[in-house]
Amino acid sequence: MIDGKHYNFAFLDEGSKREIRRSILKAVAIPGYQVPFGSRELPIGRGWGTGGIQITLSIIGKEDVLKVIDQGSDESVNAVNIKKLVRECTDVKITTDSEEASIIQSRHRIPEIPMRGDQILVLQVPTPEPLRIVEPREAVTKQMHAEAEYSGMWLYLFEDLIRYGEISISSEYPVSVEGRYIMNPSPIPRYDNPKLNDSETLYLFGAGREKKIYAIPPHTKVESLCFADVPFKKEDFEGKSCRLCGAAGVYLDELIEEGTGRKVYECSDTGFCRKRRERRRQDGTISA
Amino acid sequence: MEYLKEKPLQLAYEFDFVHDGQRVFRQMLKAESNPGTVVSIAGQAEKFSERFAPLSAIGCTLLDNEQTMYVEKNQNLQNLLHDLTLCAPAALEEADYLFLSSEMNYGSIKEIFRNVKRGTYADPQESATLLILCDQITGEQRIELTGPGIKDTLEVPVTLYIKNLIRIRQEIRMEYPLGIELFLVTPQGDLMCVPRLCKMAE
Repeated sequence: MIDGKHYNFAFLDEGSKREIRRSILKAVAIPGYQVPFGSRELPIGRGWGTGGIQITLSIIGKEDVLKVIDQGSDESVNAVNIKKLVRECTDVKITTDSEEASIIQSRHRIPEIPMRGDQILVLQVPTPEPLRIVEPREAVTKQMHAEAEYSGMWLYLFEDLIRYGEISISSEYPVSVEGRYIMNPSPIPRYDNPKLNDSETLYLFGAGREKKIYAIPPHTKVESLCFADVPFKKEDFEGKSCRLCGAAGVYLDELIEEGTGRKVYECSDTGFCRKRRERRRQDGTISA
Repeated sequence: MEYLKEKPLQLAYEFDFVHDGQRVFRQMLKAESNPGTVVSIAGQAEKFSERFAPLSAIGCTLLDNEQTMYVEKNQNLQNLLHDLTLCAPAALEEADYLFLSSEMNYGSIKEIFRNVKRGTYADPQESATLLILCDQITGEQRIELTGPGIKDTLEVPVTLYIKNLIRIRQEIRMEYPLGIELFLVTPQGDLMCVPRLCKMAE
């Protein structure tokens, strides 16, 4: 049984937390650089957010309020199980409200509401190495980062552009951090990339299977890779809005309506959508 | 066990490695994410009694037998940290964490900054972190800091000693990503961080 009676506070032993904390401090000092760490076994299989969980468990304290989302959803299996694990062994308050949370752990999305300086966003990362698409060997990519040798990545983007007429990477769109390291922002959509630049909040990235931690401190220069004559483009939701709360100008999930077969859209960030509907219901502008 | 009731055990320290360690770490993380901002670890430092109590609290938060430390001329602090964390002392050039428990002359500071680990281009994280006890942080000297964690620029009033520490590190010109982190802490538990990318306007 996993609970506070049978396990240490926040599940991990203190030695593990210390190592992860030391890695986090180095990661913040070297934005975008992947700090290797000894990823621990958890009661969740690797590839299910263990990097993010280890960071969350290492930073969380009794006073924290935690929110966990998976692709923007508070209720997906991954998010629910992570919340359950953390709550059982820390007894911290769990919330679905982005503004109430002090730590938000997320898979594949950055919340719609801009995050504050007193919050931390922990992102789960499956493949931290942005150069893996051009070079399969870890020892070589490490050396490429050491030498800032990113011509292979630029060539990849150029070839992609020639082949498809635009850069076709939909998520995990690589970014340059402080003009030094090329970094994988985790599989967030391109829509979320600009939120990394000059942000108010601290971003921590954890890859449990690949044993890497990296970070973007607040107010760090983060640029999505692009060419001078081919600017970076994010997803376009022009003329579309959420069918539940009516929000426009947010990241939307496309669904096919049963029966009619037509395309409809809903907010990807379910906590944001729910709060908006509650407010509108209180204002009387939407029916229950 | 009756004698325990008559004469309760006297604790050598009250620092809680689980919860106090977590709080100290979060304050260090906040300080490092927001260079130039002063945070407090007073509540945790007071659980040690000596003047260098904040260094003890930071040491107990970060150190263990996988790390090495260099403690400048303070055998008491070195013994305490070794006893509580099993962290092994090492030479200046090899230590992961350096503890400077008193204000030093600038020549010695320069020698220390020159000789500590800066990491390598492939492994910049294998660099030293310096924990420096200063009489105080806030002072008459107004310095302008820039770098990640700071929106545009931040003017910080610091003591001449701290201004000179930052200047000395800058003069050594370690090429990024190589570098060292400075955590400046006062006996009262105030803490400020100047990570490697944080620069002071000349």
